[in-house]
Amino acid sequence: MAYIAKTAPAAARAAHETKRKLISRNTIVAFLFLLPSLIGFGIYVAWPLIFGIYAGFTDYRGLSAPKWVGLDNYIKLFTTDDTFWRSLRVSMLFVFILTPANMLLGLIVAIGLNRNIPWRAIARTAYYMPSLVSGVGTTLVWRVLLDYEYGIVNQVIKSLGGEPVGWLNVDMLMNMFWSVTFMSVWRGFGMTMLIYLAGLQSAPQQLYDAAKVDGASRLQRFATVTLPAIQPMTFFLLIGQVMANMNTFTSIYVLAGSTVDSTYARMKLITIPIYVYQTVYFYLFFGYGTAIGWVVFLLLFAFTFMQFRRVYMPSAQRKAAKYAGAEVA
Amino acid sequence: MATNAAIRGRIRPQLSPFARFTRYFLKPDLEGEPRILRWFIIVVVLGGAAFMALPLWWNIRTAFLDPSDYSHMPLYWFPPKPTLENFRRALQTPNLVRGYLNTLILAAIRTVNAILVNLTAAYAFSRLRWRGRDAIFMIYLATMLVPGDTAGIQQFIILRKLGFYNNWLGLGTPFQMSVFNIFLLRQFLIDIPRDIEESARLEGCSEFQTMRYIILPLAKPVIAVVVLGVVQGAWSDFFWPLIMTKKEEMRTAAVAITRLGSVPATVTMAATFLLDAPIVVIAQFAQRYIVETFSRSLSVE
Repeated sequence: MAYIAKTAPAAARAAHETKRKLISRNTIVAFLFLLPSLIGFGIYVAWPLIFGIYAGFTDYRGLSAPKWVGLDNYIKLFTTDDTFWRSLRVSMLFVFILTPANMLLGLIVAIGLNRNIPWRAIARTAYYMPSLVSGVGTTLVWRVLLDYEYGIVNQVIKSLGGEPVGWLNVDMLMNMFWSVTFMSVWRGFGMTMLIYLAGLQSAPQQLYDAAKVDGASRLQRFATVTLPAIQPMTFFLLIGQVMANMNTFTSIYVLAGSTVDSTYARMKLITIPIYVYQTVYFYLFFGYGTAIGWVVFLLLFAFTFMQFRRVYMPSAQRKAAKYAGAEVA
Repeated sequence: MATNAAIRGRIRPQLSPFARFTRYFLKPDLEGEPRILRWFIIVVVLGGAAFMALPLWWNIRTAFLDPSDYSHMPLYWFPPKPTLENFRRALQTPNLVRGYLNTLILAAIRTVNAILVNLTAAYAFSRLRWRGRDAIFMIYLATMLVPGDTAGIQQFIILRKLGFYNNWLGLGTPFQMSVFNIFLLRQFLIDIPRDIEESARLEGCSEFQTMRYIILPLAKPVIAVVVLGVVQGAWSDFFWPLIMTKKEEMRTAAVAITRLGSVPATVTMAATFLLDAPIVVIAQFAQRYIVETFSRSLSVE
């Protein structure tokens, strides 16, 4: 009895010690696993972000040292910089046209491909392929397709009795705009389709059967079973599409036929990334460019925040909870 | 004969071909839908697929087209005398060959990087127990609040200051983590039952051996998706190589291809074909994993 009374706390302490040691050993191992990404986090994320907040308040160009100017960059941006607001309008236009187009087309095609039709695998690959191959490559192909003289598009227009259109004429902004829009839809909705397809395939079949038994029409079944099942996909895609379409760069840059950097002036269809390219990467106005970056950050914050809260956080936490439960059991 | 059939009730009123045609299409199939709906969907979906494939076909067609046939009217749908001349000319451009080589190196660096940086991090966030795990993961996730545009400007400035401009340190961005890839990998790894790992530990596996021989083989699908994404990204990345390089011999293929100068369109298309073909081939192997990974990782209940 005395023996037990003496040793029980000691044993408990020993067990506690082992546990503490175990935790610290685990922490060391985890730290080793985490080390590469921590180095990357420091160099590529944390340092640029912290420096970027400072740089936005400075006059900093090229090789000169940053000079503190307070809010000057932001005041200039909001009051006198017309190019910025024009580029923002063009970017928004792309967002408002391309996002619904890509999502609706993707959903419609996904519904079609979700049925048992012949050559389904080949058709799926055909829809998906444009979003897989490089943006530069597809734009170059479209330059051949839209060529004024030898392009197939103008050829078809002519054979239908119409006038050929100067699709790639940099001086006709609307032509360029529609060329970029059409190309972006062709390139963009394959990925939406694939993700919607994943959603449709996870929709529970027994709910469809039950709805059928209850006499729900095709439209009712779509509204009550399909739409809720693909809701997470819709949300994920909506945010991803808004951010991607805001960043229309490659297609404009390549369509404008830039072969040397000095032809940047030919890019009259200015979107936000094109403006950033000119300001930061061409003229090396680092301070001002950083300020533009922060305004874009604020504009998109609603979307990135919703994405963080509704897509990443919950699934991360749910999985963590599930994991903790498994540990207890 | 006729009477026989009439007795069996098999004679129907003679219908016009048009009426028979409509009747066939309005008759419900096994699903209880009119056949015309099914046919309509097949025609629309396959027709759309053909339309989607047209530019890709045009790429191949022009790449094999003899340059003198390019301006032939009406346009050829098939090259009348297919030739490899365009590929020869494309591969004789030193900058372009250098570009393909650089793209390969870039893809290799980024793949190693994805495994070394993202997979290890995802492993630490999913399979290991340590204090502060979820908090640090949240900090990682929170960096996704800054859009790529904004972060890119700042990275460019810092990396330029560090002397990463115009070399592999900046272009390959070793140690750069992708929070999205860490997220994808973690979501998959966390679903693997713990018992597997415990028994490996009992057999005397070290932490690293467990990861290498137990967890990695199980996580193959998601690793395939991540590697495909990384390779595809390296292949088609345009903005970053464009801004991080100035020397022609550091340009990747995607950038070099836009700077060919005045060459016939057939040569450009041959170069484009060479750029895109490897991705198409790789994707054929990975495609089935993509749907699986996305339906698992997005919070689908």
